[in-house]
Amino acid sequence: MAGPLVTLEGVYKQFAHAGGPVTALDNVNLTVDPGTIQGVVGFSGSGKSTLLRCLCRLEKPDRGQVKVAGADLAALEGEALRQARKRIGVVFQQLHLLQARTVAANIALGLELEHQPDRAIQDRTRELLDWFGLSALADRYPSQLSGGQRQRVAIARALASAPAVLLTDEPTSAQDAETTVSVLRLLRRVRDELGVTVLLVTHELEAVRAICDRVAVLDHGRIAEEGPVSEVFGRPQSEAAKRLLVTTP
Amino acid sequence: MSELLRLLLPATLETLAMVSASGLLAGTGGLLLGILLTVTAPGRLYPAPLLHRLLSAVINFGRSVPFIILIVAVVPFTRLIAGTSIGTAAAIVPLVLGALPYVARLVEAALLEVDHGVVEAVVVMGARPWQVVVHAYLAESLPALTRVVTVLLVTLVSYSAMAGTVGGGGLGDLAIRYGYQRFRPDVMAATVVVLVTLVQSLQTAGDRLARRLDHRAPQAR
Repeated sequence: MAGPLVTLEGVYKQFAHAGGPVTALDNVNLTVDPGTIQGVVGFSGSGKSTLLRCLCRLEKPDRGQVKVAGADLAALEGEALRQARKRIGVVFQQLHLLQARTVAANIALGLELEHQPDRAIQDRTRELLDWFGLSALADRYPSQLSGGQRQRVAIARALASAPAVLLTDEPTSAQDAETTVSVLRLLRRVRDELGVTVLLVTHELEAVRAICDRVAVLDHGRIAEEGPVSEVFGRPQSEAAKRLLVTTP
Repeated sequence: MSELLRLLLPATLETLAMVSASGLLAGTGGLLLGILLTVTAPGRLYPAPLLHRLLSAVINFGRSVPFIILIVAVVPFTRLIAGTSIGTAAAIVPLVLGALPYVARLVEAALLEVDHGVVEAVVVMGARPWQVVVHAYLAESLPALTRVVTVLLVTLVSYSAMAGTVGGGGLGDLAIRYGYQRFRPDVMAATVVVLVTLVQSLQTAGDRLARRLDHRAPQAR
């Protein structure tokens, strides 16, 4: 595919608050080429989460375009939006697995929603269970899994409908060191072997250093700096990036 | 003994008929109202403040009318629906109307327990509105909804006793007419035994089913 896979153009989002409106995203421009692992870092309250929520249209930007694989999510509604969402996989910070469904049924849900034939759902689910090393856990419920296993299920579920881009929100927070390493390794394999573009939203610079190709530094709803990880972290130009590098490990 | 049985058997069947028919209708209607109430709330799936407030007000109104008064008040409506205002079939009308708003609120409470993040996770998968309701709200709250049905049925058993006032029949009616008005403590005692057994079995079955359907971690229950 020619050109960027994800394009944010002039994205602006404001929230109404008791103490007056808060601008969460202030004219954000960002492009992500296919096959990239793009990091988005910033202090809490910098707008990282809102950016991710705009990318899957859980928030509708007040202004601007959010193009993913050619479709402008900010402008779509109804059936067109539902179709566009299938090109996007989301792994939430809290994972949000369905407690009433087994591992296999969690992974199969996206395909069930599309009313795919049972045979196709079974095959695809088995393929994903196998790829993620979850076959032995297929009939377990999320409550019976470890944190790392649950995370694998969440990533597998997000990839079920073969999206072009995977959005992950703080995948390494609240995980032990060992799980953090394996999750990052897994995300890299998702890009390398499945060809899925990955967007990693995090406040942990270590995670970005480990797997990201490029990184955007978000500060007060604006992108202060964007570029290859080595450049941004090696020779930060913006005040925001410098502050981030000094204060976070 | 045979006389007791002759009195108890039809009364028990009448109670069961009233409870199951009104339970089915109030359960279905209350479920739909509860879903509507939940998804139209501010900040939820399909916020519709006006509809939400209207629905909420109507439900509150329904809940504020004491059941014994409701039975009498809806007599014209009962006559319209059932053709008569007396008898077991007629008693089902006020039973449904009385239980409906309670069920709606109980269903709402059960659905609000579903993590909004889980709802959003299903939305971003490209689910249609009804699919979000089925796969997120209903499937995830199935144990809680089972408990709602249990409470509904148990409540209907006791409500149906009051429906005896309009000739609804049933165990409560029997207890009043024979046990109380005709000074038959044996009928009274037997009726109470049947009612207690009925309620206990409903509660036990409901609890057991709810536990079987619950796959959350034990500390989250």
